[in-house]
Amino acid sequence: MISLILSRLGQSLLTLIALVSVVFVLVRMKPGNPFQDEKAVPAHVMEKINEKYGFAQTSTELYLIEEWNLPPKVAALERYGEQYVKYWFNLIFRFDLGPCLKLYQGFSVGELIEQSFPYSLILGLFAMVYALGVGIPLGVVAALYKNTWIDYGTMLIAMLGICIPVFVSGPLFQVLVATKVPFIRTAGMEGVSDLIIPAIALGLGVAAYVARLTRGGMLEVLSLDYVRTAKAKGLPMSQIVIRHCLRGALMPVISYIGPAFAAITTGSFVIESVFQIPGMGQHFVKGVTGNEIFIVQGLALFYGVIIMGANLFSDLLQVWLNPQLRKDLVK
Amino acid sequence: MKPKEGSAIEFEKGSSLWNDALLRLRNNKLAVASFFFITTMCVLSFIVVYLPGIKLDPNSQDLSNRFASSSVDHWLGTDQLGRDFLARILYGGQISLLVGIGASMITVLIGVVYGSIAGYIGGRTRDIMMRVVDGMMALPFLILVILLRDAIENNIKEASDHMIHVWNWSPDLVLRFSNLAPLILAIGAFGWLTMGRIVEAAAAATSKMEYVQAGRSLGLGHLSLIFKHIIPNILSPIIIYSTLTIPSFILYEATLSFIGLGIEPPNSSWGTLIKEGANYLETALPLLVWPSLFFTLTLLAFNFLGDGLRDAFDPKSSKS
Repeated sequence: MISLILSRLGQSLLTLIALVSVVFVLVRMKPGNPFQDEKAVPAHVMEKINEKYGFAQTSTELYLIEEWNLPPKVAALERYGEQYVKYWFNLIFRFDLGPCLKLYQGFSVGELIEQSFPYSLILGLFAMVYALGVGIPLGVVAALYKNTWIDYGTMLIAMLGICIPVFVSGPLFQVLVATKVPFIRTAGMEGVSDLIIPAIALGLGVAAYVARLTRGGMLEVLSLDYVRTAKAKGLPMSQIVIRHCLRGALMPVISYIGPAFAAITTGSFVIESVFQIPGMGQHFVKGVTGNEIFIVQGLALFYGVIIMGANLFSDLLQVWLNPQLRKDLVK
Repeated sequence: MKPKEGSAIEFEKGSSLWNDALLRLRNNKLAVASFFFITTMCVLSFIVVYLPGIKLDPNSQDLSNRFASSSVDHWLGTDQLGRDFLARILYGGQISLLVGIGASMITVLIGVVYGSIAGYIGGRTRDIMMRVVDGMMALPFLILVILLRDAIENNIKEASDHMIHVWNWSPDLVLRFSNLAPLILAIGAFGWLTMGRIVEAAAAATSKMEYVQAGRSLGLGHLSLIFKHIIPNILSPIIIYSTLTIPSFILYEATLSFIGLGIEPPNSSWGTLIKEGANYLETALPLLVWPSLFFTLTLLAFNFLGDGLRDAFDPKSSKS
């Protein structure tokens, strides 16, 4: 088990290094910088700003362009290489993700994450708990009443839930539900109760998917011999489901936890902008449009860590729950 | 003994895998209905809107006739600037379908080449190639798509300027597609991973088959083995999976357009229409409902068709 965890951690580390590098390159491929639209700034101040944040060509770079006749894009690699090393250095030794440039000026990216992560976390956890709490029972019921109208009805709702995207259900929930409930605000964020409606809209698709996966898993398990034995022993159906079926039937759901986290993160970009929740998703979108390279790099890394953590968690849970996988590992 | 002339033994006409699959697909009413829905949507938004005599202009504004409800002139009413909403939805569908199908074609191209090479070679090379895919799969997909789209947008703008000014191509046509290209390329660049895995598994199984070994012993080259003998025989998983990726790519496109990082004006897709509609939710609900309806139905249709194709090609896998 420990060797499995270590090897998976090693893999994740490699992937994270790749992620940071790819994002670093992509962010710098886009021309322009956050300060390019400033009008009232005198030229020499602008120069200083560009120099400070590494948007200006360095003297080495100019030398390379003039003396060696390198194209500017190639010469810029010199500056970017230095920035890359610096970024890793700050990340590893100072836990510093860099500063916010124009947006949220004066904050560091670390502080920005610290401030906005709780909202996104609560929102995501609400959505996840809701998705599992609704999806699993629905899937179980659909499987127990296979090929009846209960089954078809549930699966039709699930299919709709998958196909109605967050950006449709979000605004609809906002107007149709949140305006009707007195103690919930439709936009903005003052208490945890304001996150309930957004979380439901966010978890809808995941809940539907979980219901479909649970139904499939249950159908497979229900046809196994040991379930027939349990039935023959005269156990009530509820006992059979809870004690004997769920562990096996939920394997597909558990392997879906990683992708589900990714889906919820993606959805939170949308939901946070619809309900105006000051979470990380909003900051990321604003960071991309505003050329905020450090915010984008930092949040991409943070999201990467979360999604990889969720994947690792679901893999380990599968091994822990499934004796067959455990045996394979020992061999 | 020679057989008499004209008395050739009559074989019962064999039926190919494809005919069998087609027959099974035809019996699946949901899949057939989905197929017709998708075809209708494509014909409407790619052909009918350009037919002479059809007065569907998504750009002509009529500010005296804003938020109109359905009428003979405007079947689905008009939007916040008095533009015909049906026209906007059909032109939007054009963009959404183009992005979905275009990105899916890129993933097929990359996934099939990568996967079949990995599956055919096997051994350590395959292990390394598939490890790379595993690693890429762990990356946050949408974030990379957003960043890649943003990064290549400028290059594509330069290229389209070149096409318009140097090659004298029609600016209308070039701008229409160059606007989509960054998004299609970005989705395609990171979306081929699952396709690569599926093709790799199928190609690895196929390359162990006798007829491939026979081809090898006849001295066929690697390339002709891969492209003439392996890929044609693993077409069914490729077709099934690419049908299933189209709706998910349409969904990604709409999500990105909704948060303002996807399709940009002057083009509008279903995602941008839904976004605009969400702004007028309380005053004009149809502006949200109509594009959402077309969008959701198209997604459902692609999913049902994909499921139907899977059941048709691989009856064993179908749900009991």
